[in-house]
Amino acid sequence: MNKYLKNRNFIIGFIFLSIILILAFGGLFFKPYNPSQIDIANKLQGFSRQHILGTDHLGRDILSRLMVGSTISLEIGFFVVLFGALIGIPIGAIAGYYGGKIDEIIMKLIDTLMSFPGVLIALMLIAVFNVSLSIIILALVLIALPKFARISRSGFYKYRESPFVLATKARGASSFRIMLFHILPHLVPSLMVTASLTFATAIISEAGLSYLGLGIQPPTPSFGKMVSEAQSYILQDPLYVFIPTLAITILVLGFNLIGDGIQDISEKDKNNE
Amino acid sequence: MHFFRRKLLSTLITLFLVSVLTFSIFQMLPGDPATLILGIDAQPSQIEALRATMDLDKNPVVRYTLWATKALQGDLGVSYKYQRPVSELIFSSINITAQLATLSFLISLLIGIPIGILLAKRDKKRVIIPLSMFSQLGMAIPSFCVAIILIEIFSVKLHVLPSLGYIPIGDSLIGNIRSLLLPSLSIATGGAAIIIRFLRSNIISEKNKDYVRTNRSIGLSENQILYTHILRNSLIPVLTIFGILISDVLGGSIIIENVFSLPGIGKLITSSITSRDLPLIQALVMYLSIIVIITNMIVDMLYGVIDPRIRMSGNE
Repeated sequence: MNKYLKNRNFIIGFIFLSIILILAFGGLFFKPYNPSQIDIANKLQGFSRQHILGTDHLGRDILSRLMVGSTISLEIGFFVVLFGALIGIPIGAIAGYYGGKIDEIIMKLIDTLMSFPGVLIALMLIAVFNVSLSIIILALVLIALPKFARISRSGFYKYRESPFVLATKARGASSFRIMLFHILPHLVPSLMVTASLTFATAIISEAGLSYLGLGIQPPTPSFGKMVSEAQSYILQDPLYVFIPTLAITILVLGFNLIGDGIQDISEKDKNNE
Repeated sequence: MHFFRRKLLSTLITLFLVSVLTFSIFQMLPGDPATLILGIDAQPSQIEALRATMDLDKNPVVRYTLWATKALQGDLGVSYKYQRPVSELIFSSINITAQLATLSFLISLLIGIPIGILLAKRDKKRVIIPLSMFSQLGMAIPSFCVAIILIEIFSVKLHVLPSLGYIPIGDSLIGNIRSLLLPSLSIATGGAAIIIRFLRSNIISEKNKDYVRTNRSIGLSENQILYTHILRNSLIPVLTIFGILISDVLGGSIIIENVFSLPGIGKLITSSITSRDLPLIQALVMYLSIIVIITNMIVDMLYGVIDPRIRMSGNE
């Protein structure tokens, strides 16, 4: 753990992520106002003692909305990484470990999935099935899955004939056992890097969809929707658009830096070996 | 020659799979499309007739073949909303997206390459910190947020560039570039950040190679080595991320065209989703994916031409 605390990228990333985590978890227990409570009389107020981050164009408390928005972003990112990893890693493992024809077929399918520009998969699914939280997560999982599969595939391919794997195989261990207990642990650092970068991409994509009005639907607040609502009031209240922008940036930057940090550390470990 | 044939074959397989996938997703549409178009009050005979003209009464494989052959002949169907051939609609808006994408692509290279080199040189501490922050931020801020910040600075505060609308190149060349400058800058920041990171790590790993040590030992200055030897070897691999960049730029323009109200492909696709214009969406998805796939093929082939080692080696 000490090596993580010495890495600057990891520490800064962790601090950024913590800011959003505090907002999200704090919001689960205590919100200053009801995030959907409309109060036109007090619209577009800047920072004040009653509303720490001000109010939006309908007089709703921005801090409370930010808290709910953080929870939604983290929730989507979490499920996308979870399912992306749970589906992508085994697919890549089979391709890399067995090689040959299976590998070729699986990787061709994965490449096909990767050749759609990311947003397009999401837009296509939304067009057919209408917007819902599960469709957004499904679309983002389809974007994330190939990345996990490729990283896992190249890892399993690299280790499948290494001495320790051959030795274990000679002792009669099953392929499943070898993959899960002997190869997978070696891939944890690179998969963690993929996970944190995927988390970041998922959050950006969801914000983009919500900005277009094709993501999280009102009245549920989300970062992307808050930016698009604030955009029209840029003249009266520039701070209003600045706050959700800052929130997305901090969150994404946090995950990117954590990913960079883990990458640095695992490279350093490799050099020391 | 073997290399190029293999790449071409692999591209054709990808195109086939992408078309099957796109077609299948649109087959999963809940409910019957004919009923959807005519409404639930329509006569059963009317629905039957429409089902027959839309080939809905045939099995999926036959339907796919019919759809694909028509698409190959340039017939992508008729838009529900505009009642015009989809190919016509795409053709009239692709122009804007193509200009936007080209400009964004050029800007990201123009920003990315010099900064990538500067960061790899590691000698000017004072510029390195802000520039590496720029590359981190470029990856973290969504393009639409960059767009809004740029609008705030250049349109609202300084009044130098328009915040929305498109001026055709025929009307005024300067006006055209001015109307596309902020949108392309917004898209380009992400791409520039990718180029910076990639180029920087290429140069740094190239610096430890034997030929660089040899050059140092014969007395060449660090700058001479960098610009005459290292740079060439580090810039060529940048070609490999062109595919990612194109996909990034096209994805970015879908959102950015909506921010700046540019009537391109991106605007067309979002408005077709709100009106559930399925033939149009299906064609647009296919069309954009084909662009990405073909670009990837060209990039791979170019890479093989420039670096013969790629052509000779196997799949790995």
